[in-house]
Amino acid sequence: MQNFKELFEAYGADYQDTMSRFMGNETMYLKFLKMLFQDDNLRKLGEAIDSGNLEAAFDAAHTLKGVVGNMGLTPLYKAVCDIVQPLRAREEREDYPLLYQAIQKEFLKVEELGKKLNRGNQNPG
Amino acid sequence: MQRCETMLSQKKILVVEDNAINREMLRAILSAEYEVLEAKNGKEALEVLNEFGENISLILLDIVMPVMDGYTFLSVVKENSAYSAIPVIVTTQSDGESDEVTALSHGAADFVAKPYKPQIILHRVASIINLRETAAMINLIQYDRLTGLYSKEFFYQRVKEILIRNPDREYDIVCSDIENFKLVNDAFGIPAGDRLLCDVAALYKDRVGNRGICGRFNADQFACLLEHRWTYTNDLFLEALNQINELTNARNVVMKWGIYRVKGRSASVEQMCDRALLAAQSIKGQYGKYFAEYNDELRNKLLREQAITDEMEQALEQGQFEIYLQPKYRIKDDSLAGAEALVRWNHPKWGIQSPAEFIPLFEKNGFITKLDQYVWDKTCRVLHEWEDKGYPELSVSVNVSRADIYHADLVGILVHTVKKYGLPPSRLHLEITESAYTENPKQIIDTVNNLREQGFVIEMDDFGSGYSSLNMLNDMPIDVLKLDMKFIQNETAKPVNQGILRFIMGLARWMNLSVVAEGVETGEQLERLREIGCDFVQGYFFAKPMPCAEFESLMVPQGGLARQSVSEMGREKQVLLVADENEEYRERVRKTFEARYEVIECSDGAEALEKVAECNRQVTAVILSLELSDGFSALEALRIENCVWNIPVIGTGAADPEVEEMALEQGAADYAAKPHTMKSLWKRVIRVTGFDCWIGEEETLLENEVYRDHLTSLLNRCGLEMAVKELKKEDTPLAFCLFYVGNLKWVNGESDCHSKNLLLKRIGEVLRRHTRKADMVSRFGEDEFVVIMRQLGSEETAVKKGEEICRKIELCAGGVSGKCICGTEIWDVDEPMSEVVERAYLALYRAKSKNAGG
Repeated sequence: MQNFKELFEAYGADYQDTMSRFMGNETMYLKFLKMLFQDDNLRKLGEAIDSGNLEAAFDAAHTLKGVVGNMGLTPLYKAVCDIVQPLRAREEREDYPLLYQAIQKEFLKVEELGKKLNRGNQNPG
Repeated sequence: MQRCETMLSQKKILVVEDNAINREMLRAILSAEYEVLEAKNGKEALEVLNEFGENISLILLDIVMPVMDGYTFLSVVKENSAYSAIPVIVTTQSDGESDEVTALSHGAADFVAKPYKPQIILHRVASIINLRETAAMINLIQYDRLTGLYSKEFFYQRVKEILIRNPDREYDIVCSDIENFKLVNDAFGIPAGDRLLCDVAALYKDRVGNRGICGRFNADQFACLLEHRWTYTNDLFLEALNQINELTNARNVVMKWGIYRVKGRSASVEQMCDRALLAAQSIKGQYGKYFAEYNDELRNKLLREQAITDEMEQALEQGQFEIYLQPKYRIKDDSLAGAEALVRWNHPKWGIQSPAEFIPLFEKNGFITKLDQYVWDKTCRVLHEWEDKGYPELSVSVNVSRADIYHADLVGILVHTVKKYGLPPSRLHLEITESAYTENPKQIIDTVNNLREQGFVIEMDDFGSGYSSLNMLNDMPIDVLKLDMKFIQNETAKPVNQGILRFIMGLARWMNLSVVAEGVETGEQLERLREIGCDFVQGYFFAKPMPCAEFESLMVPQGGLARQSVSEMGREKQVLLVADENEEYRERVRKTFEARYEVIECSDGAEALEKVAECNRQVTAVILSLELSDGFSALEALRIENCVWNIPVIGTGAADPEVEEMALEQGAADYAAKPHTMKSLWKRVIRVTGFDCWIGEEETLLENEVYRDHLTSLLNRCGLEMAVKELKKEDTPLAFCLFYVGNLKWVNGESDCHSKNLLLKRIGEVLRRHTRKADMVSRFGEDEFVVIMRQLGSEETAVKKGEEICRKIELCAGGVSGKCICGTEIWDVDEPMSEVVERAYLALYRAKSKNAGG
């Protein structure tokens, strides 16, 4: 079974850089990851895009960007950045739902990662 | 415990961030070194700030937040002085420079980007906190902590800069000083004093505005620099003072302003400010004068003082100070009894200098201690020389200044000085001024006790000049009372029998003190003093202070003719004469009274008359048996002689009403029917010699000087405090009414001292007329009066009564000016007076702000 570092890097994140933010503490990282799954900014972003509220969409995306950036979840981070950019300028665009779907897709990957990391953490070795 | 301390000492960081994950993450990064407080949005953050204020060392702020966003929060924080100094670090996404610039322009100290880099965050946080703390230290020095004005040093610095930058402009430095500020602190507590200082600071800020700068120096000294644009008037400062008094709950603060006009740039800023302050101090205590400009007159006076100060040390070294002796004479036989050593300064260029000029200055700059020691030494040398020349062993008194009393080794120095010349300490009399007692009673009593134990004779100087207190006479172990000339000059003008002077003489006799009257200038004064039995006199009527050689010519060399000197005189007891046929009775009287009197026994009236004539006025009283065959004729003779002697006679005899009546008719002061106890006889003697009035009329006269306001004759504050001590439970409930009469200064449109005094007198009369006899009425402050009414149960009645009096006062002011306000509180004597005063001030203030009460 792969260890935390291997799983993390396999996902596409920078282990070294990220873990420095968590004092090298993997358990702490998992705690924060769990918080991310409970965070409602992704839901808020979806709702805001559905209703065409760019203001609210930006706020949610912006927060999400900060969080996932801190979590070092590079692929998801990139997906969020893609939507933050036009939202910051409040650009009226057709492709927001598509950009949002991309985020959702990345988010699922992170959920997968989370499960694996947790399993690994529970049964070390 | 230890943990607790770390908690307290840990710096607090407030994290303002809407996202829980980010918050948690920052907490994880910071919590090892800081105590982390959290807020989800700007609104919550303000609540935390309100709670912790400046105890928060730093704020980490997310800009994009719901409820109140980061920018709004920043603006609010920076506008509030309570926490505008707390540095704010903004957390931004790394995706736009614009956020960062905006944040910085809103007052953020720095920014950190997401994703967080723990090392960078910790580093930035630490350096910003450090920077802020250093700046705060500088701030602390730049600004006076209490008032927020510039500190003294910073004010100097700023003035210097302004003067250099504007060499052609004229400026004024205006300084002020609050009179008796210590009294405010003392009477109302430090917080009240601080409030007053803040009010004064606010006045300065308000008046000076952008036209100058303001600073606070020591304690109650303020200063400002203004461009010279107008002429200053008394009214301008009076108005400012009124404003202060309005603000400060009408506590009658008096401020004096001094102005230094900056023309050239030759003086240092420190000097300029000093001069402005000196100008302010020069009008201290002058009623109705609120400002003074530093001018040539003041400058010359200061220069003169400086010149004296520069010369004094050298003058002492070169022996320019000379001892002059002023003779003291015994009144009884006009014989020379001693002298007071005085100092004259014979300056080689300036000539003889007046002690009236240099002594006060030396007292101020501390040089007096050195000069006194010099005088003691020189005086002892003179006394030693007299011994060699075979002159009589007169004693000479020297002055011991107030500052000397505080000298740790005063006793040692004096003992050493007399030993050096082989003199007994009793030859050197020490004159200690009465006012030293008022300053520090315990210290002076200890010192004087010590000196007396060593054998020095203590003379109480200037008795009657200041706050003469009978307590002091009781506490102070002295030998001689010196009455101040001014006091005597007033006294000799009054009818002899009513005088306080007579009472003091009796008191001195009672306490076995001798009395020296100094400053005797006329024959009339001398006769008065002779009549009342004063022992010694000193003054121009007899002789001026003279050089030692001249004094010596007054003395006749004589091998030890026992002359009574000032100190021996005091120790001589008064005579009590008992004329009685019963030897056993005389014996009992002697035993009873011999501790206090010299008791002379006679077995018939004729002998008694003889003895009285011998002892002259030394006889305190005569106890005369009317059962003696010549008892009544002796009484008659004494009555006739009494025009001169005024010796009270106590007649004794059988319990016969007719004899008693006859005795009293013939001039006996009292009649004691036999048999009687010695205790009752003792009481009669005390009564007829006048000492039963210890708490009587004459003492009241003396104490009045201390406890009464001279203008209104009401109790002064000190008197009220004394009177209040007499209040008992039966007197409660008491109504404590504090009256403030405003705008008195504006009678006649001007600060006319005379009409103000008249008005104050009238107010005093109104207060007395409208209160009961048992109530206490006091002039509590400049324009404040207190009435304490006994047994006034309901607050409502008390308030009504207070308002009624207010109206009467306003009526008496003739509607010209006065506005009278009253603060009334019910008082139970168990509560300290200071507290009810505080409450009454609050009530007064409330009434004032409601504009009620009249």
